[in-house]
Amino acid sequence: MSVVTDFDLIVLGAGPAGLAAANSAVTIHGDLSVLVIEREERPGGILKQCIHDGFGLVRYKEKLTGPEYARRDLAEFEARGIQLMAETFVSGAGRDGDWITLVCVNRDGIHQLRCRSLVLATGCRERTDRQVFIHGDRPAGIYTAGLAQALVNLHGLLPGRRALILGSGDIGLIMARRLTLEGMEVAGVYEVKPEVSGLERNVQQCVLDFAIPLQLSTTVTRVFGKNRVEAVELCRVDAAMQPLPETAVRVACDTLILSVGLIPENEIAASLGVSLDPKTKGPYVDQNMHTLADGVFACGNAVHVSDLVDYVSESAVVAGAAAARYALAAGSAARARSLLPFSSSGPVLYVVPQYIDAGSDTAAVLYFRSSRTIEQPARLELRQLADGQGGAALLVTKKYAVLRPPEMERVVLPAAAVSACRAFASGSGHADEPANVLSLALTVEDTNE
Amino acid sequence: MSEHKAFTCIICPRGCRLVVEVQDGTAVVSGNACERGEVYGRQEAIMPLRSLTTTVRTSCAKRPRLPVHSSADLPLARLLEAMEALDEVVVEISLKCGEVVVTNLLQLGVDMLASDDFDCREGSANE
Repeated sequence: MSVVTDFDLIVLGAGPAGLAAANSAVTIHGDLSVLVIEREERPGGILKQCIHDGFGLVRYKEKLTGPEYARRDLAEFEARGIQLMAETFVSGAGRDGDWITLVCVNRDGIHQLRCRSLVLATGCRERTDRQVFIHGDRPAGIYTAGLAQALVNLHGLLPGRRALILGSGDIGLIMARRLTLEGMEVAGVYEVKPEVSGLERNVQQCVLDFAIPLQLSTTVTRVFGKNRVEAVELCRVDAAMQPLPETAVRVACDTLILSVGLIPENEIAASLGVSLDPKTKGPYVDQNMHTLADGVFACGNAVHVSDLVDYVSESAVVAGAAAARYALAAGSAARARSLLPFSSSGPVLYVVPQYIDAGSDTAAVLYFRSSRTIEQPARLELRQLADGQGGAALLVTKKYAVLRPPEMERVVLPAAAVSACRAFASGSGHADEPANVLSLALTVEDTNE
Repeated sequence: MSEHKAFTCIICPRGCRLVVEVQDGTAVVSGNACERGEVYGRQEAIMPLRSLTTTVRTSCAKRPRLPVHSSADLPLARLLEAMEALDEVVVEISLKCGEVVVTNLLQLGVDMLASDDFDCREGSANE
């Protein structure tokens, strides 16, 4: 077989997560050999086509456009001279002793690579019409919001004349404005759920600003048109989200844009035996963004779909640094992790990381989402439950005035609290034996008089 | 006469719900979590301003569009007019992120700046 090239660390994906992870890794040790593999021609990921502003408010305290945000990480990446392999696909991944092996394909042929640690920064993919059960003919004119965004912003092409947008995710809302500015008519934005999926500010500045109709509890039930979309059928839905046929109306349009959710991309993770959380559709990770497979780290939207790129970068900095330390320690006896899982109670959709490695000295940045809109005061409590007994040490508490599922909440578990957990942690602490559990409880204040 | 307006603050992702009372030309803002929300609310009640982010044509076949953004906010009511004016623009020179692409758009005192580096010869070397 061909030559095998070894690296200390390989990052998959040169979007905001991959760039930040690579930059962070070489900050830990300048001599670390790091390679970033990217499918597309240019680094920057989805930010290349996110020409709107609002990025970087948390990380830089500035309002940047997507390309500007990407350029900051890219400038550092280039200054550090980190190696990038663009227009390259990873076609296989596996193990060879302590090494993680990758097979890649690009114009130069097939490449065999090995690394000590791997960072999955593969982002997420859009759900398509087939995944939301719109069946029937497949006329031209049906686009995911991200594809429409790429056509308009990168290629300068309008997808049609009159668009209807299904789904109120942020990209859908942003495309409603973008298409309107570029001269398309937007017939309306329709959402099957009783509340908007995207951020409130995008409802204001992308939809209300341009008097675009926005209707909740409504979905597309049929697409008309043989060669090109001619119309769609809209139906109101009941509380169980089932369409009410008597409410069906036909709306003329030549373009249907779908903004119906994002799913973390983890095909490579699956081939390395990385176990995935059914709630987030991304790998289970500890606070170092270490998956349950040793040496495999993950960050950004591959782990869970973030509302802000700033949090993608934050998790990538953690993953890059931890993967660098892991690679540097290669050869010496690996420290066994002491993983404590979270059990959540109350209206919590999910929490990431799902585990705390009590043997690690690092603080944990936790992100969680509420499972429903909560407009009365709520309190979050993080506790260490020793051997399943309740009422043990309260580690962190935080109050919220309003919680909305589209918005991610961030809580820090200080390093001291992680150390406190260590005393409780059982010896083996393997994920399969959750002897000690961390509880994350969200309690909504009872406002009933 | 008093006027009552309610809208979502767009300054940050928090999205505060603002209520503005306009009485005799003065606006009183409530519902804001920070000072920026108050400034925004007062302006929004009188004349909504928005940043403009869009693309302009380029002469480079490999990168036919350059993303641009406004140096300051402009009146919401004039965004479509601004888009029409930008229709004429074609970038034919290399630019760095932040450099001026269009000066004084619609005489509003706002410039359009490049949101990314642009190399007008990109791709030509390999073709």
